Amino acid sequence: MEQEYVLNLADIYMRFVKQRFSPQQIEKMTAKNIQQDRFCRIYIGSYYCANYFLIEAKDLEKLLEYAQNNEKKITLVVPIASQKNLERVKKQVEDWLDRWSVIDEVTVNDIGMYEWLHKNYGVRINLGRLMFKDTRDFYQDTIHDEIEQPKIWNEPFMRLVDDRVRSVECDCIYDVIDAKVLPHHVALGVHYPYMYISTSHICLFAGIRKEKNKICRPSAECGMQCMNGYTVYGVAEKDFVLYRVGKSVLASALNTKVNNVESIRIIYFPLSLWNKKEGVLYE
Amino acid sequence: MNKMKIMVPINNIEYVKLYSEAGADEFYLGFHDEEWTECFGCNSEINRMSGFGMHANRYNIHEAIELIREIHKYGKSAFVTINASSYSNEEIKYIDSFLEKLSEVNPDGIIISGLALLPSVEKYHLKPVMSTMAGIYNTDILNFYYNSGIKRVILPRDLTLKEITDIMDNNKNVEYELFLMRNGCFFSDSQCLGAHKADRISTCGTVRSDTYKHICDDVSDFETTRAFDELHHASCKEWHKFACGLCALYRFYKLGVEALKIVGRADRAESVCKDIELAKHNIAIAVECSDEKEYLKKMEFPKPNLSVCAGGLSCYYPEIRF
Repeated sequence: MEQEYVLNLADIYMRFVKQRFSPQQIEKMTAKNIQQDRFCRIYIGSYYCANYFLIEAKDLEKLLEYAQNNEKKITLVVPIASQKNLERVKKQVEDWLDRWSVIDEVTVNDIGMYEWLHKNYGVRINLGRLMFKDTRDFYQDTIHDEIEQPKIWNEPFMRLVDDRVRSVECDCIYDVIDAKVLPHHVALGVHYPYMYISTSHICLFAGIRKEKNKICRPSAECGMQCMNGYTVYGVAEKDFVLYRVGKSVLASALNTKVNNVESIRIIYFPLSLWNKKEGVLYE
Repeated sequence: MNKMKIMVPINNIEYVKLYSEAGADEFYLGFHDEEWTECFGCNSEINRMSGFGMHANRYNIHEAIELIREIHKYGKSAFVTINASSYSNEEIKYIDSFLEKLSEVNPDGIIISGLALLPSVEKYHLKPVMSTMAGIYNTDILNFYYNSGIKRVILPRDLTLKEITDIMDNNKNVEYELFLMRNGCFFSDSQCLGAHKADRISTCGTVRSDTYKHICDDVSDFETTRAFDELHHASCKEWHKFACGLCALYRFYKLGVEALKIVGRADRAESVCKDIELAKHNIAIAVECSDEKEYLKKMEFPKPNLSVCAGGLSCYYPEIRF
């Protein structure tokens, strides 16, 4: 079984930019954090937020150049755009694909974007984690411990997994995941070390310092306040913690064992490095 | 202009008459099934509310069929929710047997969460309705489902009025159902994948708790911490304590919205009934008004209106007034 670690900078790259890290420094410290030498692939964009996806665009050139000059590949992650942002998101995707050959894959999180890419571009497609719709439980005791094959990998879903699909993503929500239903050419993208729980088109952080009657609005404009902080929720008597990072709610991933797959990508999200500052790469 | 229908939740056959007389036009219901639970486990869901057991799905399939018959006796429409976020192949086959039974009473729609169940729904000549669980956030997603044969959709709660208008203007061949009252939720119905179960603290319950820590750069800065704490308090304790979209009724009427959803299958009947009456009354006002300004002056607010309406934190569509 082939296994590779990929660096997931979707929804967090701008944090490291704010902390003044160069792309090289970001790669170095995240690789060291998980005892890897380097990453061959980096994920950019967003799983959850069109605002983040669009605002980040202007700061990504440096990272894309770095990837191009250092034989790395880039996966562009596209969030589910609400109607307000749909055309701008599509235009941004077009712009990236037209200008940067280092982007050789796009991760989609909804059927609309999947169809649009399929019809208009020949790029390889990944089915993103928001399409992995099995329910999960952050109490850490799996609620489906009799299941090995995720429910969402049913026949209708698997019809989406054609020759253009390079990977299918999942979260570590089961003790065991049996991936025998995936075609041989498809890698399993396993998110680590957090499992996705929830999201919204309403952003809590976008309401910081706004008038009270303007908070919690769908698709609200923002200044990327989410890159200034995230929130941790926990209940003392229960052994779990939830993380609210931007529009997402995450929990710690389970120690999932994966069976019957030829190729795994471990999609590593470096939230633990959030507080690293410039000049302090290693602590 | 079409008359907008009021769609209400029903979990007790005794309330069909009460809600019908209050003004409900359409009912949506779910059901539980003991054999399903034996086959697939107590955590496998038939619909989104399965985790709340009989509190939200009081009846089994046979009793649900009787409920549909009762709804039809009053000349109203009945929709059945089979809209969990995912189903295994075995569950899809099992649901086929439910649909076969349901087809005996010809419900007016089956509310589904994706295309997995569409072949079975069509096999029994039932009408599919795409749930908010499908996450129809934009015209591309809508048109995918429309081209697959879906002619009625429920749009998500976390869309603005402008977005709703643009989606509806883009495809006028679809019937649209929108949220109107009760039980607003911060998170996306289609993308909230934390288990919804009565015996577990929910995701939204957890983030509404007071046990949190905000990790930020200016943690020692009083103003920054205060700003976040105030926001957290407002979003958790005040926002959508009671959710209402009545101010948008005139706009919905002009858009040609098919149905307006009052949420709350597990809620108290008296409270739901009051909301049905209020919605009915305000629809009648909207139809007689010549513009939105006139409607907003004449409409009747929920009572007590000051605590519900003040601050704009109880609005499904706050951009109307705030």
